[in-house]
Amino acid sequence: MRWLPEVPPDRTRPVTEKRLHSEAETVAFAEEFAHTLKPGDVVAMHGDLGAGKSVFCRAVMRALGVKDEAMPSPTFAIIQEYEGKDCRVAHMDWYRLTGGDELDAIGVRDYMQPPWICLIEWPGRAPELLDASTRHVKLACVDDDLEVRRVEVLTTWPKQA
Amino acid sequence: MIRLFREEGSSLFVLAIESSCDETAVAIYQGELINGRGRIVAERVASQIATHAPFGGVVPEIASREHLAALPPMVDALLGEADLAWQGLDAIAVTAGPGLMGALLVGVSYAKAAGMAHGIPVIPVHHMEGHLLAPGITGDLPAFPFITLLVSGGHTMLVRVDGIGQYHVIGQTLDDAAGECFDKSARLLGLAYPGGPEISRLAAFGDAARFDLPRPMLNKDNLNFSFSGLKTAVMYTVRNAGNLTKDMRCDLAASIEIAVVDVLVKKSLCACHQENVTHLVVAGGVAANRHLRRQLEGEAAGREITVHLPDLRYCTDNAAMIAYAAFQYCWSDIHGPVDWDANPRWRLVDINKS
Repeated sequence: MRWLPEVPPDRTRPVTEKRLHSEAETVAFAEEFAHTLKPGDVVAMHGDLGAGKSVFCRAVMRALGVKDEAMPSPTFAIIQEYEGKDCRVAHMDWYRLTGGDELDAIGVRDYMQPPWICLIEWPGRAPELLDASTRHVKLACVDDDLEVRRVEVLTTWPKQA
Repeated sequence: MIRLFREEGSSLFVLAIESSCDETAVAIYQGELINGRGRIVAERVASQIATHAPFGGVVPEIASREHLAALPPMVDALLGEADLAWQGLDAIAVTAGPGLMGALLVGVSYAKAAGMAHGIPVIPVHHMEGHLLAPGITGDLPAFPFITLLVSGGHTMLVRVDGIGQYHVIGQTLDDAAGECFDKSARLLGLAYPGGPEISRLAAFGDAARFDLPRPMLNKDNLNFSFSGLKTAVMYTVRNAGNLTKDMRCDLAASIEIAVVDVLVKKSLCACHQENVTHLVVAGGVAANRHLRRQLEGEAAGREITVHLPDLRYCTDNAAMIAYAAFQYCWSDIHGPVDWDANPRWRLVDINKS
């Protein structure tokens, strides 16, 4: 008989959870996280305006080998494309959209397979486009210190996205 | 190909269609072939800001659906107003990029179809090129070379303009655009969309000295911008304040505006100095900011730099600038690409390559 765990793993619990004390620590954490990514991976970024989603994404992209000095915000353009080392990176912001139909129409699914690594801010606009293999990163401010961020890496949608 | 008869009284009529983002705009420009000047004969803009307001931003597919519905009746009405038939047009200009694919395609498909049906050449125009040349619509374009500060919700860049179709980006934002910084700060302050004008409106009642916000990149030895950190500083200020009173909102709006304007003004003047250029054009939606206009004119005067500001209505997206740019191509005998299509990521440096 095969060995089975007594309690099935709780997929809603964060895989990693950490308190980041400065932007430098956020960047270091993002770099470490980037090394776990491979082409075809999709990362959903959760957090309020100013929580550090873009700082995190830029650090991930640098770690993936993107050399561009300017990494303009995708808020206006929806998708910014980059060349990384052995991969391409799509940095998206779905804030200005209302649903999957609209995203489908602009060809978002093309970016969810190799050679792309896809980083998505405001993924809650079209959750139906993300499958179970999506990695979720949640960043949040904490009450007692302005500079500090709490980061969680999950394999499912965070409870309060 | 358009044949030019450069004599007194002969002119070209250019119909332009701009549908790259918020607005569906159409315009007809009459350009004189003797001197390259001209005038807008008729124009119409259908803004979708009211439609988008509930979402706090532009929604691309809604945008393209709106463009699709708005365009044909707008062109018909425009031709009527100008008292022109299709046969009276010499060229159709259309924004071919950059922008949202769905929205661009509506304008480009319409322009190509109309051009084919009526036998009129179609000229693709780069959206930003329209902004760069906008002062020429109602006035004279400054002598080349000049520097343009292009500043809007999607872009913040300094461009050296050496001639029609000759553009070099000499500085740009590394993260957020200036207009985006206004919009996101407005969201943090709980203000209505679009946030830029709202910040400006509140700033008029505020004390800019109350909050000391950072001036990102001001001391860096280059012409690049960065506004993401300013937004974060605004968030910290809002969190520290707890409940924002009306006075605090106005003071913070004024502090945000002065911080952004300070950086834009200093970098623009620095660009003129570095490139040894004495004419500065300011274009894009943020060029409508009164504080920016005032401060630029004040500081440039002492440095023998002439500031050129397009009419306020030609600072935001419009079709007149697209018509004007296309006319400048015709008049300068510069031929655009023969084989082209809507290109959402068309780069300014690639204008003459395709």
